[in-house]
Amino acid sequence: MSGSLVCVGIGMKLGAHISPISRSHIEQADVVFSGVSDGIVELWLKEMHPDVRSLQMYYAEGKNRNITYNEMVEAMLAEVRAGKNVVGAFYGHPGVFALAPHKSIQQAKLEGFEAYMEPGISAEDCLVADLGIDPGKFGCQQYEASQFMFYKRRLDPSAYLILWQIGVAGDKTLGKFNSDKNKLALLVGLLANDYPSDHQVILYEAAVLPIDMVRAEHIALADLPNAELHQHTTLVIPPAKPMEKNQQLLEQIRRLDEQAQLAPCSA
Amino acid sequence: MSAVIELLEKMGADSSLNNAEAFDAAIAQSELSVELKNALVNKNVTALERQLDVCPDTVCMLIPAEDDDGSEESDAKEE
Ligand SMILES: C[S@@+](CC[C@H](N)C(=O)[O-])C[C@H]1O[C@@H](n2cnc3c(N)ncnc32)[C@H](O)[C@@H]1O
Repeated sequence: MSGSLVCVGIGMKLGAHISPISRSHIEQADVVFSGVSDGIVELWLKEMHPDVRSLQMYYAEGKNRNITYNEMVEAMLAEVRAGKNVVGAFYGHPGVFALAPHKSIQQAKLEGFEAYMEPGISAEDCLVADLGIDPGKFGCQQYEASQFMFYKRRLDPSAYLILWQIGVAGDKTLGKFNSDKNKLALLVGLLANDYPSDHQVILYEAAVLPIDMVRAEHIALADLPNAELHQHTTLVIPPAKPMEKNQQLLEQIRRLDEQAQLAPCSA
Repeated sequence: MSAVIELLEKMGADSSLNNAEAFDAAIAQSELSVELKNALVNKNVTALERQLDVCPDTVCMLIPAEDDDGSEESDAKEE
């Protein structure tokens, strides 16, 4: 069946992160849909292909974003069904905290079309580099900030915690574009179970244009409700306590090792 | 390619422009308008957006806290 869909990541920083294969997909597509976080980045995409259609038009303040995301999926699939080779070009990694790329690929496959994803450099990748954080050092939990509030999670304060979309934390309507101090205060209250109120957290914003400055602002957790938060701010909470040894499991491992030493040839 | 987008792309892609001197020299040598050059040298994103007539309020949220197909629960049940 003709018609295909490839969702590609263009990375975070204009010019710096796009992979050769993502660029090639964009250049060779019949039509490109753009899901990017910056108007100038969108102009850059338009230089790569004569038919770039912005997905921005589906957002509106007060409109539930689930409707927006379904409309994005439908817009891309309509062109796939019309037999076009469609590319969805998304900022960062198209599969990291992003619904429409996953959903549209799933749906296209269900309908018998070829569909897949090309990865990109995500905000988390930039964060690791800019903040000098290794998610493997103490482990790392990450959640969409509102989801973290709506559901009970098992939080490990000896690992890093990354909260995405912190700028709209607690928005049940999925229609807000700005932060709400009262909801942020609720989040601080939730986190206070595991972190002291003066615990230093980081407001992170990666550079998107080559002239952008990276934001890595350290504030006390208690000051979060009054902090300047944008849609593109990510909250990073470093560990607040040391990793605790699992003595029981360590003991079991010790016993296994001992047994293996006694019978070195057995499997 | 529009000259300013071409220059921005080069700034993102060329490591030799990573230092302030080379960065400013690349801007000075370009054929851009004085206004655009100033916006770039001063790293003034607002001015640049205005010159290029792009909307400064781009929405970047791509995921809901809860999906409308209830996949939060069904995904877990599948396992
Ligand atoms: C729906 S997610 C999309 C993430 C994207 N797919 C990626 O690969 O990074 C949107 C969230 O990503 C984070 N984000 C987006 N742009 C960012 C930036 N320039 N710096 C830091 N975090 C950013 C913020 O947490 C924002 O609320």
